Amino acid sequence: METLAVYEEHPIRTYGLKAQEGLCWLNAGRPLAGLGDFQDWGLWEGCPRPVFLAASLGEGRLRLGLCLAQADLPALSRALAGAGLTAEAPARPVSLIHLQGPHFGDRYGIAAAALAGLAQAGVTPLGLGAVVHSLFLVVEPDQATTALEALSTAFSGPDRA
Amino acid sequence: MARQAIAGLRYGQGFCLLRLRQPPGPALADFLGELAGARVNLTMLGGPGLAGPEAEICLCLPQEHLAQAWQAARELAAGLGGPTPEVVAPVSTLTLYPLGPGLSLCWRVLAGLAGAGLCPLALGSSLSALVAVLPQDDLAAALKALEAVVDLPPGLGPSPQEVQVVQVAGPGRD
Repeated sequence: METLAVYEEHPIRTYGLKAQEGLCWLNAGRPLAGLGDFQDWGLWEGCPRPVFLAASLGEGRLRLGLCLAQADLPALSRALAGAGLTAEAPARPVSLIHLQGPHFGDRYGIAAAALAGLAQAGVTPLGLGAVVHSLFLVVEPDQATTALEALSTAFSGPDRA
Repeated sequence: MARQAIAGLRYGQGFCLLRLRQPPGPALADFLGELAGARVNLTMLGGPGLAGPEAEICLCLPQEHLAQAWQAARELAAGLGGPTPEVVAPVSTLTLYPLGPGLSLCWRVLAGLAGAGLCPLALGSSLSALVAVLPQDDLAAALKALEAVVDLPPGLGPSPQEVQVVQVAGPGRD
């Protein structure tokens, strides 16, 4: 069953347009070998959850990108180590802009509009994730304001900060 | 292996995956703009990071757009002197929700699939869901393998994504 949607939005409406501060970006990886033997499921109980994650698997290796609250880094790092993951570099402070709107996961051009706006303002994202109806843009903390201003041309929200 | 209670598991078919390495920011924006101009929706987009020598991003999109996306990706890489993008087709998507604590759901999916000799190509999370992309030939085996690691509500099984929302051009546009 196919539903046809007609969206003619200029700017593109979102449920919110603001930057989250106090976050960090962490890259961690491990060999794929032995993943099926993992048994320590209690490792994740009470463990903070990252704001979002993105992973690539290939060439015998799992690579994770994680955006999480800086306050959660110690606890999550311990859990990651318990799962055999090692940090590829120290976690770096970042800000996150999360765009979410109606049928974002089904509409073309959302990520393109966001990256075009950032590129025009000279902001290069450190990380990017578009999953279901969420678009995550990870930027340097001192670029968050510039990024929001750049995005406000193509996107609108009920509140901005 | 303890199973995690989830509310839903959906799967989709007929996609392809492009993996771009070292995609610099402005060029990536142009590439995505080209796909948007061709009205290509990205089912999933993400990767372990866009900075540094191991920068990488994966795109999952409908297989009907593979030729055009692959051509654009190769031109992007060639213009930058970067490595040739990787393409895998056909691929399927698995969407599971909710996430649970830590990396609990993500790790159950990885470990559960690995235990069956399977491996997804890419993973990403939204605020409440996890999406995994895997070779379409592995879909049936993957759904079987996940029975050992996740618990769906009684009477509910994995369901295909039957309702597809397709954006068409608005009034006054081509």
